[in-house]
Amino acid sequence: MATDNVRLFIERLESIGAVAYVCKDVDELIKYLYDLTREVKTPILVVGSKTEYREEIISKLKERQLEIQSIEQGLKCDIYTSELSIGFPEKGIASTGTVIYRASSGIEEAALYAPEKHISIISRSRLHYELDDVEEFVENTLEEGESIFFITGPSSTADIEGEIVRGVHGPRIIYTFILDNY
Amino acid sequence: MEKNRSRNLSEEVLEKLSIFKDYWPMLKNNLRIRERKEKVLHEISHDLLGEVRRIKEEAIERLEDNIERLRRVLESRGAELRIARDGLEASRMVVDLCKQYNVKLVVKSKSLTTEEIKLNKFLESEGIEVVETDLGERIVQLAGHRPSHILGPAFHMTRYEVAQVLTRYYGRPIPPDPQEIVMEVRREFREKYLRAGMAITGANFIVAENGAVVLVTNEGNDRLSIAFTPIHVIIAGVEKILPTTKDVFKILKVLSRNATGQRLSSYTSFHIPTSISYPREGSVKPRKMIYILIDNGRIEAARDRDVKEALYCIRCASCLQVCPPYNIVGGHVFGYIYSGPMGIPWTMITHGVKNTEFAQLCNFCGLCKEACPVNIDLPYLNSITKERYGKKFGYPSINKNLKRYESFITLAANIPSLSNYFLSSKIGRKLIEMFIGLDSRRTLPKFSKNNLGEVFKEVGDGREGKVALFTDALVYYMYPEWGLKASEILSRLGFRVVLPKQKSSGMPLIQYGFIDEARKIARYNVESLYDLVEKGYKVVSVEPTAHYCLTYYYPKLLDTEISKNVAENSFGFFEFLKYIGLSKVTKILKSLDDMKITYHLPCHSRSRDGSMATKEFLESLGAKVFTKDVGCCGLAGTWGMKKGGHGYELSIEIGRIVVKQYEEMEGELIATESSICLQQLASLSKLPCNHVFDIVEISSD
Repeated sequence: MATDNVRLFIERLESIGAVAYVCKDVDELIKYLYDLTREVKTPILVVGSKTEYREEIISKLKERQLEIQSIEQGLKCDIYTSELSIGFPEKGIASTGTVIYRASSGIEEAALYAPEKHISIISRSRLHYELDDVEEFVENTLEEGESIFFITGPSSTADIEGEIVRGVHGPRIIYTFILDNY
Repeated sequence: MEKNRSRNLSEEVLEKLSIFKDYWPMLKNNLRIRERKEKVLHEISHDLLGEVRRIKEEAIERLEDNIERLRRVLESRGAELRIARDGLEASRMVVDLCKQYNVKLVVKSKSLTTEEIKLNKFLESEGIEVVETDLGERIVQLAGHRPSHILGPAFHMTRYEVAQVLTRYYGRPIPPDPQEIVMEVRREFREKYLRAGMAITGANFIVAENGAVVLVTNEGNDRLSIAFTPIHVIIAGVEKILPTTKDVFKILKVLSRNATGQRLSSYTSFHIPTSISYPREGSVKPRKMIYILIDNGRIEAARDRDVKEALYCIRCASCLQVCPPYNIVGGHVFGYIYSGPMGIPWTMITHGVKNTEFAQLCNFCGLCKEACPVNIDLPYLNSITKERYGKKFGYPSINKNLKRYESFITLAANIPSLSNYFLSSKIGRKLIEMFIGLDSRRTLPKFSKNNLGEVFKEVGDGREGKVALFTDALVYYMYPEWGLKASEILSRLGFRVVLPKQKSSGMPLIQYGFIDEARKIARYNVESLYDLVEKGYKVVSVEPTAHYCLTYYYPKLLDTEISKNVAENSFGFFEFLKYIGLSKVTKILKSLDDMKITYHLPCHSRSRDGSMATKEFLESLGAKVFTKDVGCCGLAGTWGMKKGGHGYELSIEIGRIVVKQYEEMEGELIATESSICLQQLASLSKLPCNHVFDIVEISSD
């Protein structure tokens, strides 16, 4: 089932204009991330859940001299000019190609949506098949007083002659990495 | 009778026809969306649709309890709930908030409810700058238009018009390229978000159990508006409250698939009142969330048995996507502020019945009802709206004339030769146009020398069963040969066929809002047929509209056991052949020997499961049948016969688009089982057009 979820998740992400990769471990992921981030001229914003792999990834990116700004540490840069954010979603829904974040502040929300590019990193174990599978999680999170955000592909509009254009407000480009060993 | 200023719908339609000629931006955009939807709609089960309907029914039934529940939850979470009786009160609340918090700039995310209450105008009159952040809304705001579609506010504009508007606004050339336009606007929005003191959003749903505001968008403008601003004001109708998060999940599965053909929209957010705001000048404060829920006629509508169904709308715009007249003229003509089929009852609820004149543009094809995931009977709501308008301000004179259509027809049918001479003479047609209102350019069918009642003889030995034939005015008085053909086929199949006393179906009465009169006809026909149903007869209708009335509208109008019983025992003619087995039927009919037929499915033959009994019938006889879901032919009974832009001209334009698509297919002829549709197709197509009864021949052996 888990393999099926990964396959379906990738298929659905690609169908909605996102780019998806499976990485066998953090080291492989870092190579991809480095390629995608080394040209970035602004601090890279990090947002999202404190997953079991998050600190390892951040410290390895820092080792490569990348300027990383974790949102929880406060804001030390212009969020709306940031080129890229990296997010650690709580959950993913394979059948829709959705990643789910929780956030309790405007900074976190802005970091998710303001940059032109967004990278989501999610483990295989956090992937679920369908919407119903995350219902309880959403109910509990809302009860605890945190907001929930589903992201299903890049920001898009079809307001001009029905032509789909990406990035009108939120990220134009979305990469999603699935960590296979978690 | 009160007086109402009247819109000149005919002129409005003619103007749009001249502007949109051969371009039809609404249709193009909606067809694109419908193509995307086709790939995902099958993923929604009928059970789920039923559940969504039930959720909405219960939410509206307990509307006032849900408001109180939400109030308690929001108070406990530090948010405010205010109920505004009407738009003015809501607008005043927002202005007071702006003054209280010294807000000079408001960023707004798309919200139909704020359009309803004309909030922008109100805020601007108080010196508050309002920036719409949805791209389409921003375009129409800068253009000085109003939205023409609930999901694509600028669907009526071309890229060139959009570029022109933005060039004027930015004071530098903006190319007519959607990608470049988007990048320009993106830059501008960033600056606005950071400066704005307040974000105003609507809500797709508000959850009573936890206070969450659920927003569904593709652009993400709602999220950036809220993320950067310290005050979030939610303006929504009270009907948006759902009891639980579970309810929202059910509807989410249906909403985006139906709205845009996405499994989920790009962004779905559940905003909770306890979030903290984006820091301004270094300080972090709780985000202020103020919920302004608007009544504006909704609570009264929730108590109105005939109207409350409109409140089940989930704003997916499926009805707009399939509506033939809307797709031609768009929401500026087919609408007031709410547009399209759902716009008719919603205008009545929120802006009063006096603003519902555009309901006359609905051709009553019923495609909106079929497309609606919540199964809202939009045609009937339209009928109710027309009735209330008619009783208050008077019915349009042509509709009053058409109300007496059966008397006209029976009178003329008594003197068929004279009637036909009159109908085919120029002077006759001009007089009919002048005194009744039927356009003189519309070809009208000729009266038969003898009506069906005069030539019909009870036939068949009844070894397989008994059938009562139900027709409609056209077959009865103009094409009795089709009634006879139906009877002959059934008798050859072993059925005893009788023609009970009957009136025409009464559809024009339902269509134009003469509900009381329609009910009388329904009662007459049901009582006549029930006597036979009691004796074991099945009712078989030759006309799709007649069958639709028997099975759907009569039980709805009468709400009696006997009407339901008649409905349960009623069949469309070809549906009945399928029911008894096409293998039996093919034995008594001649083969169609690879005849290439383009089949037109009449709107009233459409089944919920998508099956097409007539197509199957033709295929069983060896025909190669091609078909395409092109929607309504545009005639829609007497609707397309009416003089004027909003009748004949609009009807012809709808028909032209349909026929063009058929002529591009492989069929050598067009066939249909509706005598009404046939009139329209035959008048517009270069291909031969036939009634199915004219194609099939009974074997001599």
